[in-house]
Amino acid sequence: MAHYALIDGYLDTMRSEIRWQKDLDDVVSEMEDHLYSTVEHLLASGYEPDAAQRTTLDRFGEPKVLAAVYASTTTGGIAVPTRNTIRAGTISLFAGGLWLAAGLIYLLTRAEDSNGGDNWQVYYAIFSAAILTAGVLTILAMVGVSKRSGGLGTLGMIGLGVAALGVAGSILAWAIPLWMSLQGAGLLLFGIAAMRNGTAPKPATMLAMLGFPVGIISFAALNAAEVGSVDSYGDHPLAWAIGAAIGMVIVAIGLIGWGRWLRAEEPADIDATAIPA
Amino acid sequence: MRGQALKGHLDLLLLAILADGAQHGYAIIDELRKRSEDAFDLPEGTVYPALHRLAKGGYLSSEWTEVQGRRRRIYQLTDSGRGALGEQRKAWDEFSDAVATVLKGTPWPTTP
Repeated sequence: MAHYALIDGYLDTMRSEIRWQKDLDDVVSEMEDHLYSTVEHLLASGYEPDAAQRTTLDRFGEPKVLAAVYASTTTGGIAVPTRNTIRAGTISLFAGGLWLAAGLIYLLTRAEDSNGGDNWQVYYAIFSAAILTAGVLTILAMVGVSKRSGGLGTLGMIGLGVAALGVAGSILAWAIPLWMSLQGAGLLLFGIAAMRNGTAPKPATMLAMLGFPVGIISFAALNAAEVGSVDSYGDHPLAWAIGAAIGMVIVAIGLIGWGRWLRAEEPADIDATAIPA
Repeated sequence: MRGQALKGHLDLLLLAILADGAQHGYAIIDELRKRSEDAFDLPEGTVYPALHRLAKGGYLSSEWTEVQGRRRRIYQLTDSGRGALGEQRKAWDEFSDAVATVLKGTPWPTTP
């Protein structure tokens, strides 16, 4: 296959301009086929090689314009990594770490309480602070995922709102079914919007959206199976603790996945005003 | 014709071209140019994101082949794409008929 220096240089520039693009190799391969086909057609029409390449590139479009078109979404958003989405990745990693810690601390709290230990109130206070902080960081991570996806529409916004209500509800740390259901519903709706959008990695999104619902189902099932001793309310605290911890761990893994994805990218230099009609 | 006039209609044009059979991007753009008699002036590269969007929406399927040592992506209309083409074509016909009727107009009444 003949090689054309101007075309190859252009493809290198495009590769850099849309480095955040999913399936980058496929996109560049398709451009290469188009550009080489055009050059060959023009050469067959009598163009000189240099003129054929320049005409081909003029027709194809400026790299910055094309990068902006690739970044634009059908809703008018721009789906590219920015410094803020990368920061959101770091926040998502912290959120994941805190949810892991919160799950562990809650198990310790219940174990200490069951064993009649003196420190359960200290553990519980730490747990309360951890879930509230993790919830706030999770909301910020969700905003980052939404921004990176070019916006997640009404469903995504509703999910974000419901999850934020759940975070507010977690001020009542003991009301686990309340705040976990709200945050779970919010993450579920947000996750559906993210899956439809297709920008965020699907495995991480699946874990983030299904973690709390799985946790709730787990503690309901373990409670029904009468796992652990019964407290004065007729519940089984150990069943709650295990179920809640399962949910928190799954969500944590999802958030860590989002964090790794968002942080792995370089910020793009996109001029949204360059998008042609 | 400026790209502005194409806004909102590019998807319909691409679906219409692919209704005649599977094609790769270069051939689709070439066909668009021929059928419009060079009327549509838009950067050729901007057609590819539109094709990807249609594929993502399930209106097109695609597969890769190799031609002259290069990878080539061939697009094909799906059943969903065929349905969307029918709907969009009908909407366009109604719209263009309505515009034509208005533009045809009626003569100004003569004053006595």
